[in-house]
Amino acid sequence: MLLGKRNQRDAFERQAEKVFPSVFGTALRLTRSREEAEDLAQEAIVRAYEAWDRFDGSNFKAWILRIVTNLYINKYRQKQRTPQLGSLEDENAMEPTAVENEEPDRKLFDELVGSEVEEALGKVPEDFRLAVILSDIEGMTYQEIADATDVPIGTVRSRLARGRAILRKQLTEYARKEGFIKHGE
Amino acid sequence: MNDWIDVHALVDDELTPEQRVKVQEYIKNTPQAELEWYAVREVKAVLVTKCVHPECEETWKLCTKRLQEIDKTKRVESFVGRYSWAICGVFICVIGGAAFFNRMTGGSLRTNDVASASLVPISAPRSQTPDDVQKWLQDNLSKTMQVQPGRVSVVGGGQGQLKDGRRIAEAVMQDSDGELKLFVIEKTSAISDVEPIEGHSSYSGGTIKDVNCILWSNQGNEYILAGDRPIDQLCRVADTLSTH
Repeated sequence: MLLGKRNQRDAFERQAEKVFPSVFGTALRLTRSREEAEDLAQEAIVRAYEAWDRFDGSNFKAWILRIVTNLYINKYRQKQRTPQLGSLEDENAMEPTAVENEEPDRKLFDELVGSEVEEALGKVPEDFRLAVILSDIEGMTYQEIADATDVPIGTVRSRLARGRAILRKQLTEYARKEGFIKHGE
Repeated sequence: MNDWIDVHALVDDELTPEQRVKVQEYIKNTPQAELEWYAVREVKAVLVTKCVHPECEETWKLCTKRLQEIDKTKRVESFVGRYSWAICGVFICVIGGAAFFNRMTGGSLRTNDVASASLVPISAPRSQTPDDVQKWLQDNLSKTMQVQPGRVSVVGGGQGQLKDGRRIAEAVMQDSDGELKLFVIEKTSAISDVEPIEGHSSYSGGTIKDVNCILWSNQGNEYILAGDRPIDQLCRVADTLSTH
């Protein structure tokens, strides 16, 4: 029996180790604090291990990121620090990601470094940010994001579009500030 | 068609083949939609290339440590849960065994316990004639008791219980060398602080509150004779008291 338990933990650890960078990265991008991210990631791993026998065996990464997301929503959200650049009330107020009449495929953001992109992402309101992180960084499908965040697919789609639009504005500002693009470009 | 959102869905590969054809057509015919398509791809590409996973080896080690602790706790809980009845049983047996052991050995009698027994005084024989003395001894101490006529007189006595619940009777006797006390305890038991007496194999010797005493047992009773005189003399007096 003890051996069985040990094998079970080994199997869980093998799976969890592979996706842990995603778990920790998502936790860090959500909490924006290394200390809180460590707590959140550890708690998510513990919760996942305790629920391991209920995992259906399909998509471990989506399953564990769902746990991270739910934990974050339930426990860490109160400490929200994100400056609100847009709110859920105008979630459906769609605006294009692109600026009218701009040159397509300009490779505007190639010069930006990772920390600048992370900072810009951190300024996106958290519901939109969560959708962008899960879709564009973690590669989850709309359905998986809908399951993880417990919202309909339609909401995921609009949050994603809105989140990308806000992020692009932020990135453009950074690029402009750094002189990678000039005003009016 | 929901314009911008569908452009995003196209980039995310979340459209059915039919929807994809429609959106592609829309992008082809709408310059702003084309711009949007480029913009979405650009944002996605920036996130994929610039947002690398942070270093997290130490945190993972902490996680594995916590998992080990959880397993350890679960093992203990499972063991206790499964064998709780056995653990309780062992405890009860230990407690019972200890109680039994204590009853069998812990209550071993010492000579001073005899002196500290609480006794209710009983009246002395009506007279010191050998018959009355013998009758008194047989009535109050032991039915089989005989005493050589004229050697001792009985001046009083008492009856009571020892700390272990056994009955004890006492006769305060007098002979030419002074006072003697004879105790009779029902049922023989080991008395811990006595030693064999050289030359008197049927007696053991000790002291009761610094007064010499000798012990012997007979027919299931324990006899103790105490007096402020040498052990030898006590043995000689005891020889005159036939307890058969």
